[in-house]
Amino acid sequence: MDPSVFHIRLRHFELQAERMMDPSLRTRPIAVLSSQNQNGTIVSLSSEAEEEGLYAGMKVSIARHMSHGVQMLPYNQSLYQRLNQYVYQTVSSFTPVVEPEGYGRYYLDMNGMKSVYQNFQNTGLTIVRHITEKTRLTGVVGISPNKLISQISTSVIPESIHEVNYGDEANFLSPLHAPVLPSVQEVSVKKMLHFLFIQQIGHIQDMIQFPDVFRNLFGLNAVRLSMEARGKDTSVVSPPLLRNHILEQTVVPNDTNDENTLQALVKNLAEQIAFKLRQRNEIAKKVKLEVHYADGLQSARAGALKAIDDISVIRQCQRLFEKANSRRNRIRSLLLDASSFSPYSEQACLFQTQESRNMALSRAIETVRKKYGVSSLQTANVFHAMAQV
Amino acid sequence: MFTHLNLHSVYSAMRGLLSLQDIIELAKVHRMSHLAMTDVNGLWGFIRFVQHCKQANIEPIAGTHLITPKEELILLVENQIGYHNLCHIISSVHDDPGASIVSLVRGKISGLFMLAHQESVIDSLAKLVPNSHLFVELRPGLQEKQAQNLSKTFNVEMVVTGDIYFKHKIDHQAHVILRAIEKNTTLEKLDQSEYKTDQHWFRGEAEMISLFPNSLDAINNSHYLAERCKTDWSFVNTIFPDLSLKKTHRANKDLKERVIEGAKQRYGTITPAISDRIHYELDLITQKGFAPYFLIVQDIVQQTRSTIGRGSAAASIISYCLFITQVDPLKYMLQFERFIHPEREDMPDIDVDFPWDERDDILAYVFEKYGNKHTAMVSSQVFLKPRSAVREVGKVYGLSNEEIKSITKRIGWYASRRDLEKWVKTDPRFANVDLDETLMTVLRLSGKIIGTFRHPSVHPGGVIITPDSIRKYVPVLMAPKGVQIVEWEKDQVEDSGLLKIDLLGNRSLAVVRDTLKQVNLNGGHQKTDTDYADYHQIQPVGDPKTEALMQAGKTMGIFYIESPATRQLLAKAGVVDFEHVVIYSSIIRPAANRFTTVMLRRIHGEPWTLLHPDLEFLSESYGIMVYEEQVSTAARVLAGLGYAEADALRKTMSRDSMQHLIQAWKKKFTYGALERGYEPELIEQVWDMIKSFVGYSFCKPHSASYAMLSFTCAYLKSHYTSEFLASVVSNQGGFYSAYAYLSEAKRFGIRILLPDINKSGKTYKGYDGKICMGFMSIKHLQKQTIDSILDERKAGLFDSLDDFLLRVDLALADAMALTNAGCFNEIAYGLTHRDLAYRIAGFYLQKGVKEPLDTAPVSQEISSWERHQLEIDVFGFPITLHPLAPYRSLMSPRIQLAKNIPCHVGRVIYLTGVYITRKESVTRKHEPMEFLTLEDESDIYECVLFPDAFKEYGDLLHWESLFILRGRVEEAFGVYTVTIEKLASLQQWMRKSKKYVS
Repeated sequence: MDPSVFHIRLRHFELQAERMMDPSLRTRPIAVLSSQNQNGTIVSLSSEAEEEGLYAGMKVSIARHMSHGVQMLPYNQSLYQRLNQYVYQTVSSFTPVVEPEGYGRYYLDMNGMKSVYQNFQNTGLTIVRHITEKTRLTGVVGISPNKLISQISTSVIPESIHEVNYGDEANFLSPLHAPVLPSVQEVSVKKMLHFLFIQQIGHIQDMIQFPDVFRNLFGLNAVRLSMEARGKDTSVVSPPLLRNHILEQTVVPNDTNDENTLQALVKNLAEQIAFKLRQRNEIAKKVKLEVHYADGLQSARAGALKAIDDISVIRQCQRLFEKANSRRNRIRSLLLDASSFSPYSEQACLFQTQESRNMALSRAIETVRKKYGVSSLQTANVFHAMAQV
Repeated sequence: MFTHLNLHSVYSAMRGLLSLQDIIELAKVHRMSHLAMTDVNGLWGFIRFVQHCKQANIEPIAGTHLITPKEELILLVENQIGYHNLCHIISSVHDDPGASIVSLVRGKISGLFMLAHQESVIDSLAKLVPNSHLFVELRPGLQEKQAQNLSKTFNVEMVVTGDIYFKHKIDHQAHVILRAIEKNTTLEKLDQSEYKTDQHWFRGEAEMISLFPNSLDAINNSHYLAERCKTDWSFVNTIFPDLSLKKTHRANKDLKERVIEGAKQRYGTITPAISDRIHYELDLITQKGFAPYFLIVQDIVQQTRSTIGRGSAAASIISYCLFITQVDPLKYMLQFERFIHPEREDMPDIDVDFPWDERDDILAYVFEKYGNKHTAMVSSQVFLKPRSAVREVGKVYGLSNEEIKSITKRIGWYASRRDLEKWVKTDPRFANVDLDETLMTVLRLSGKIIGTFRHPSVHPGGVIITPDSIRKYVPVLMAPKGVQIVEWEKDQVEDSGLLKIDLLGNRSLAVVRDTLKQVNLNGGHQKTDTDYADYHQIQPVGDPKTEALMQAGKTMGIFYIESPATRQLLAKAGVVDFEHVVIYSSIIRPAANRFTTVMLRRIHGEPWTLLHPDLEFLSESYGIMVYEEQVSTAARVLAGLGYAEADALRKTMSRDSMQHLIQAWKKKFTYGALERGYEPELIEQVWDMIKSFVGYSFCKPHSASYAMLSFTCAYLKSHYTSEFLASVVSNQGGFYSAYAYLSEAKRFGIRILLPDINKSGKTYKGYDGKICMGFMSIKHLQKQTIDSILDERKAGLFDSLDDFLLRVDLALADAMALTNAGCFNEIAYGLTHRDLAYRIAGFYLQKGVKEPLDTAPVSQEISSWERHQLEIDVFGFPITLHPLAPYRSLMSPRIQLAKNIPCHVGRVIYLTGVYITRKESVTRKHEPMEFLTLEDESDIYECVLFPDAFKEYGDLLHWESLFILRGRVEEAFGVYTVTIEKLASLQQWMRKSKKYVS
């Protein structure tokens, strides 16, 4: 059985993206932050910044104290998203089965492609080269019979390509540190390994020789840990599924806890959801509102829609917002996620009801907006809030 | 004529913004002869208000603004009965904040004027209160017509009030912020009914007339009503638990008998000098009626063994003979007049310290003996300070904790500046903070709310006992921790004449107690758990070993003289007899730094003379003013003030709340001294010394009392080092971390033993040059686990791991913690750490079987570096290796050891160090700097970061604990310090140098 799962990793993706956009950053110590706030963390950093003692995951407040020479860059979500999408499309030209795994990491299922590409090592290098030519981003490739080994090899092997053959998985893993295994991230597993002072995967492999004891020590995680330690992974490379959701999000440029602004933003998002639902002539049985605070915490509340006119949807969303926003901290973004759709039928009514009047009003507004643009007809508070956004 | 009868000060918690100084200034500007302070549901600042008013010749009126969820009422005191009723009513509203106004005042209306503006309240009160005492209140925000209608309907007169909450209209935003803080919400979410409009500022008569042009009679009524209120407040009478003549006579007799008996125990033979002093003091005490007080304190002190009376009471031979204090006032020439003098009218303070873990029992005893009706604890009034103000306003504006901390952690705990905006913009400590518009708004508003009352809490030890219901004298409330407290803090309690006894917890007394217990136990003297030597039997003064220890400045762990500054002072001075240690204890205070250097030079032989022959009383302290009583003596001798006045000056200097009076006292002192013919230059120099007592100072008896405990601790440390340091760590607290104390023990050659399942107790135990760590040192180990181990051990020691596992039922997490801490190393000798861990995990996790696993798949022993890391995980610090030891082999030989610092005076050297403690300070130019204490494997050493270095490296101290530094060695009076030129994180430096610990 040939190794046919590729893992492409563009190390320090965010850092490379920033350097791609601004070449003057190439030799400078830089760190990309999850948030400019003090409790943000370092997402990606250059080797020069590492020399200053910084590391990925370090809190911004500590990093700022530790090093005044490192340039701290804000998280440029839209740049990384677009670049990631571009690289995804690039690697998709080599195989139809590509699974993205966060920014700058992709699994490729090359099963059955041997006859096309002949030599997988060369193919891997070609893919990476291709990415570099198109984006100037550099990457590494891991090739193995399964996703787990390919992914581990790109995270630990310094070379640009590494191939692990079928049957060699356990040997490959044996000298590596236990935390590279995904199941070691489970708190109970981590605690037990720490207590037993088991640091290498080889030691876990030794323990597997005593299956009863192993099962007792690691409980429900024993099977998964045992498989991972032996390099077994049965998961398949699966391309992303298209989800049937309507998502609307607003990122507030200046974090705020101003109730009026936030209510207006929720109203605007709700109007957009309502508009899309009317277009589909569907009603969402589930609508979820997420509040993302400036300090990284988030809160969410979900409910159901009973009608799809603007007023009903706005009311429901504002109710959800009031429930979700229980803290005084400033808010960075708001997200509305409508799902579980079913056809919407307007029952003909002998007398005009409030609901039918609201629906008529919504459709009238919609007509104006279709003709003159969404911003042509807005309430004052939404207009004011959107001007800030 | 208009008088403000509805006025809220900063004591109206989270509502009022007017300080008492502001109120008095405004009242003077508007020429008001009377003034009522009606804080919301309380008399929180009443005593202070009376004092401020008296100072400004304004007649103070007591009152309150009663607010319940739906109703409001202003209550003003007509006479003493009205005051008692007011205290009762306020206490009742504290008991039940949801009660109706009528139910609160029913039965307590006598002596009170009531002003209401709500029809329902007037309606219900009109049936209870005569219309001579009930009025319709017309306040800003209400319609004149509406009030007039109410007045006609109920046939009661109208009175105009200002209903003031802030100074100017522009302060309204700060008031709204306070409400948002109180309601734990944001500005936008704050309900409009929760805050006042911007109309509630301090208006004068003319402004009130223009506000209510059709209610001139009601405006005049405010003044007429003010004149009918009680304004002659006097607090000269001390309120004793029992005032009857018969009982006072019996107390006088009883006191005399007990003193004579105590004197025989203390002195053996009573010489004429002793007898004279006893009689002099007894006469004064009985004459002033203080005898019952002494008997109460003695009764409380007798409830435990180790106590220490502190404060001025230590100047009394009566206290000494009653075993309340521990210093012989005759031997150490302590002036009784500092405690009680012929002119003293207020209550003398007897403060007693108890071991910190016994104090709650003592308080319970007092409450049980005198009952909740007569007893309450003093409160601590918590006001918003710069740190808390920024934190609270930041939350209202939605800042995250980290953003708030970026400011607050750079503001010292005791900072009192209000101009935060300017401070943050100009102080280098805030250089790395991103100051956006929101943050600037937060700082601006924070500045405005600094000094406002936040909430009451419980004073650590102040107890009040009254003869009849305490609710008659002061409003009381129940603190969240379930103890009854009065509304006033200690100074107001003291000034109001209430009997206050300070029963404070003291860790060092517990340290002494525990050390003696261990010494007895190790020596085999202990018969029972409570049979141990009394610490009063120790005679530490004059013991050569004790003095040598103090002379070397090796006083870590020793009560009161363990801070780096005091350790250095002891070493620099070199003279450490009792009298000198008393001086050092008193002179170590922030404002007296420059006098410390002068004193050191004089100790080392620099010739000096007194500033004036009349200042002979300063000769005992090298011509420098050190003790509080020297302030009052100087005032008496130079300015000719009487005992009472001189004492008042002393009190003013030592109290924060009285700082506004200092200028007036300076004038009085200067004029008095000039009149008596002293030179202006001398007066200025003496006042300069008096000024150094501002905020923080001690009297000689207090310092002597504390010095005695310091000597006792030093004696124990020098003779029973391991027992003493084990007790210091066990009692926690102290100036340093447990790590620092254990390091100190190692410097004394003591071996630190890891906890052992058969030998360790809950606390650390010292014996025979070793300290065995207690189970308390193990992080996350549950208390009940410790108890069950100790209980089971009573049945016999554990002879093997299997024996332990079978006898003690533990949670796996606790078993893991015990294993990692090395508790089983002895009983499972020969097993590697991995073997042990495997056995224990197997024991708890095997299904259906409870027996340890025999074979471990991986059994090699962990490395010393792994052991080092494990110890840090388990205890929070390493034990086996010094934190710097793993790095030493990677370091250049140019890096010196601390023990060699004296060989490099004047030279620049490199050192490494582990953080021990630090203290931020400011230079004379108010630039921030830092004193830093570090240690390496060889010794502990002191460093200084002057402003430039502090600016560059100060941030490093927030997150790093291992340092490498370059600094110049300086020497003063034989003590060495390192002035840091460059400071870096050791681990960061190692990484940069590509050196890694294997």
